[in-house]
This record gives sequence, structure tokens and C-alpha cells, in this order.
Amino acid sequence: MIAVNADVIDRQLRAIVAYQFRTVPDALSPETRLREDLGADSLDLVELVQALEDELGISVGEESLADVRTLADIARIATWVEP
Amino acid sequence: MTAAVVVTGLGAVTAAGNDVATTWAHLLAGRSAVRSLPRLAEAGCRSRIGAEVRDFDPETMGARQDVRQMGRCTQLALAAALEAWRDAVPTGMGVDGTRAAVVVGTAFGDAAETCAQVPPFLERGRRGVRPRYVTRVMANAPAARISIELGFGGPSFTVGSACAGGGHAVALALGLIRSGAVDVAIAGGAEEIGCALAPAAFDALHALSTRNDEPERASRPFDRTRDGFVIAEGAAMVVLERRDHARRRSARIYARLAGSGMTSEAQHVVAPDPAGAGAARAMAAALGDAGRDAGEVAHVNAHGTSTTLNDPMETRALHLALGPHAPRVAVSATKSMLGHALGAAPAIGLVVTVLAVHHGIVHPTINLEDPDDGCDLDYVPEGARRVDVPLALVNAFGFGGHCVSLAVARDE
Repeated sequence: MIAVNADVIDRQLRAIVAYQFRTVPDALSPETRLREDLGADSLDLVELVQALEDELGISVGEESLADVRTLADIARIATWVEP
Repeated sequence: MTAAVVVTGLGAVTAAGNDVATTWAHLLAGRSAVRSLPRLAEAGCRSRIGAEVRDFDPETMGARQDVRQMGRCTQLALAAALEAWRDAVPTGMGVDGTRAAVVVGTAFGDAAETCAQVPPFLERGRRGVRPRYVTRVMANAPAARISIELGFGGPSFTVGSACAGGGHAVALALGLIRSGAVDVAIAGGAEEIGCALAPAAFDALHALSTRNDEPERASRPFDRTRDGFVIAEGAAMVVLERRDHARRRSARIYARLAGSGMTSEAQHVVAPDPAGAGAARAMAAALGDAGRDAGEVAHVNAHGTSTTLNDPMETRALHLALGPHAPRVAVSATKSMLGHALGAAPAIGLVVTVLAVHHGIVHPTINLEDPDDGCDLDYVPEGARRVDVPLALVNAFGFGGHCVSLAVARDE
């Protein structure tokens, strides 16, 4: 597994999160908090993890979701899925 | 004495229009909403026609919830419920949400969600399963979403009784209000055919019309050349309310939901009892519940599916239930124009019948050119007709032998 390219996170992660939470990518920053700012609940987070895996091929272990607060947290713990 | 329950709001999304007004105008004009449905051809069905809801954009209904997280059946149900609620309570004032119920009937609900979920599940197992599959497919999703949207804190649930579903929902909501459990209820039915699975199953049963070259003439209840029903989708909801509650808030009252009758044939899982006994008992029970006589019935919204078995059975049942009065009753089959929207159909029939009572006009049964043997009633074939309707019945029968009849009366 290798670390995820920062640009990918910046662009595509924001696009996916924006779609799921009905906002625009420009409204999101690495400091955006999923629960407090976007109103995410636990179901939203599991779904986000699946969308990241399906669309970007990156994996965020569901077990580490409890530690995820911001978009930057996702970028930090995301890893490429082994093909 | 049983509390009087009235209808104060109407909502509908049908193949004829995405609201009540458009649907009603379409029905009075006697136009078919049945079209070619290439989706069924692609699925290899013999029947390649249907009455689907067109140009429905769930984003425009103004829901607070994320409609993308709902299946199409739930979206249709929510749109109809919002229309009905805004119709009944334009100001949003004067109703205690904790005293409000939601009951929705459906045959398949959002079971089509399973169609989308199974391939990734078979490929990837649990990792392929979307967590929201649960909240999209659950049978109670339409009722839950309406309850959440409107803040209704009373009982909310979905009932399943195939094509009688919307009828049971309304009958149960009537009982909830009469029991004193709630003051208000939204009740109705919803069904979708965005996925061809359910239509294909009915096609496999040889239940669907194959008059593919003449879609608008395919649904022909009581006609000699009928060859099955036309699959359809849609949703319809009514706001039911204790009459004193409606009067206290100066609500417009369309009509009174005077009674309901629910029976089962307890015979065959698909074929209706040719004698029509179960259906007749449901109608008689609805009249008895309403405390009214068969002689007062001026109009019947028939189940009228255009299948070989239903139409003469229902005619026989009408004779049994209404006796010598049956021949002078105006019997309309909404499915002649809208096709058969399964669990939504009884609620669509109720909305239309409430309007018939309210306006004193009944819509026609189209495509009835040569009444079949055993179909000897007045089915209003010539076009919409002005009729004074002090009392009407709405019939709904479902696979499994479920029969429901609802009695709608002018509020006097």
C-alpha cells in the first residue's frame, strides 16, 4: 500500500463529499468537519467510505471511522486498495 | 357513536399527471395514459406497454430529506403525501403532530432496490452492499419518510396486501382515527415500475395485455376483447381527519370517509372467486360500517382491471351487494386510463371518487366498445357524466384473495 497523492484528495475527495452532502467542492476545505459542519451521521460516514473505495480505489478502514473528524483526517488515513 | 371522519387533503402522482388537478382533468377528458414501454421489450416481456409516471423530478417536491436516499416508490409516496398535506393544511398550522398517523399500502414497495444491490453483492459480498440498502428497501420506508418529513409522531407503518394495499391503508387509518388514537392521518398507496422485475413477473403469469400496437386501447375493463391488465405506477394519498377537528380549524372538507369493509376470499392465491362472494361481502361490510343502504349508492369506482377473471367477477359481486339497485349505479374503471398501479391503485381510485362526490361528476370507463357476457352494468362508456353522488364505493382486490371496499359520502 502507498500513500494517496495529495492532489487526488484535494480534488476528488472534495467532489465526492460535496455530492454526498449536497454542497459544492469550493465550500469544502481540509478543515471541514464531517459531523459538525456537514451534519454527517454514522450511516453517512460508512457510505462515504464505500464511495471512496468504489470511485477512487482508496480504502479507509471502517474501524478507524471513529477517529475521522475532518476531510484532512480522511486523506491522512486513506490507502490505495491492493488490486 | 362513531366519530365522523372526513377527507381534507388529496395528493396524487400518476401516469396522467404529477398532481391531482392534472390527473383529474385527464380522466374527465377520457384519455388513456398508457404508452409503449421499451424497458419491458428489452426485458423480453410479451407485454411492452405500461402507464409510467413521466417527468417526475423528486428534487422539486421541496422535501427536507435527501430524496436521493429513497427508492422510487418512496419518492412517489412522499410527493403525493406532501401534495395532500399542503392541500389540507396550507398554513401548516393547527395540527398536533403527535396525534397524526401515516399508513401506506404497497404491493412491492421498493423491492426493486434489491435488483440494483444483488449484482455487487454477488461479486463482492458484504463489501458490495450499500449500508443504505436497508433504509431504501425496507417495506416501511414510504411510511417512515412521510412521518419524518411531516413530523407525525403517531403510529406509522406500511401494509402489504398486493393490489388492495392502498385500500387497507385507508381502512386502517380510518380505524385509528375512530379509536381515538389520533386526530389526523395520511393514508394511501404507492408503487413503482422503474425496474422491470415486477412487470416481468406479471408478464410471466400471463396477466398483462399484449395489445402492444394500440397502447391507448389496451386497458379495456368489461370489454369482450380485453386481454389482461396494463402495468402502471404512481402514488396517491389522502388526509383523513376527525370531522370536529377539521371544523375547528376551518378546513375544507371534500367528503366523508363513511366506512370500510375488509374481507378475504380464503380460496386461491391468484384466481378470484368467480362467484364474487368475498368482494360482495367487502362492499356490504363497507355499507354496514357506514350505516347506509345499498339504495343510496350512486357511483362505484371499480377495481376493473381488464383481466378476463376480474371484470365479470366484480360485476357479479356488485349485483350481490347492491341487489336491484346495481343497474342504476354509475360504475367507472380508472384503470381503463391509468392502467393498474397495483398497491397504489386503491388510493388513486379513492382520490378520484372523493372528487366525484365533491364535484358531482364521474369519469368514464374508456375502451368499452362491446361489453362482455356477464358485464351488464352501467360502466359510463360514453364520457364523463354529471351524477349526484351522495354515496360511492371504491373497490380494491389483491392477489391472495384480499378484498377492500371504501364508502365515500357527501358530507352533510
